[in-house]
Amino acid sequence: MGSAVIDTCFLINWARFSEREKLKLLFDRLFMPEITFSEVRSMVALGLASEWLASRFLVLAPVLPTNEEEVEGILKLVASHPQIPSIDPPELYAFILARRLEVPLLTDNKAPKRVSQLSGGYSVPVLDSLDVLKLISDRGFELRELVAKFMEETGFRFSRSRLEEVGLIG
Amino acid sequence: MRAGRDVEQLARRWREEDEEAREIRRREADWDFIRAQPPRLRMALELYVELGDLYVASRVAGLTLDEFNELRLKARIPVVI
Repeated sequence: MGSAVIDTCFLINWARFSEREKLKLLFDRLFMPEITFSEVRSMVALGLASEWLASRFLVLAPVLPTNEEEVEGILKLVASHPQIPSIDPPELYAFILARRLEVPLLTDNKAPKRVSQLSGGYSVPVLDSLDVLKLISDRGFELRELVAKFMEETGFRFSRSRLEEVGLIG
Repeated sequence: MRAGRDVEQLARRWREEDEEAREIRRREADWDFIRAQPPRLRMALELYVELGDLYVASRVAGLTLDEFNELRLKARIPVVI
């Protein structure tokens, strides 16, 4: 077990998932950049955040002074590769925080994962919801059931290539 | 940084993933709901269908990420990863 950084979208998405407490099988603490917390407004996400903050499972991390070279390097990488979606400020904060803490980043946004895949220099383990569901299934749960429930409750779909990656289609 | 050939392969895979995701969003979206929205929200939802970028779409809508996600769910536009 260890820690991870989560971004706003991940919290919002998992707040709707009835099996969200299974995240605690994988991580004993989640960090979220404080500056991105203001994006959380719905009662369902605020309710979950409050519950997790109260139990110290979720911790709001202060904004660290950004290393301008680090930010510039990431933005240059994004600018030079059109297939990387623009990396927005909340993701950038979360990505840099995960890199500094040397822990995985949990996000369903494509940009951090693609930056990490493209450049060894920014290699942060980036896990999306399907990666996390797979890790949970490795603890003795049926992946197909987890994925079906997650899709139904959160309005997610997984691409064919991702489902192939985790062995759900041949 | 990865070698040029690897980057090309990655870029090709990402393009295919993006196209598949766009098709799924277009297919599953509730277009009647989207067309019934005020112009700013309609543009933001249409942008989300095409791009799949929640943050950018939320800025266009003038909503927080969470508020826009609620709207996305009402419009039945899936997040595709």
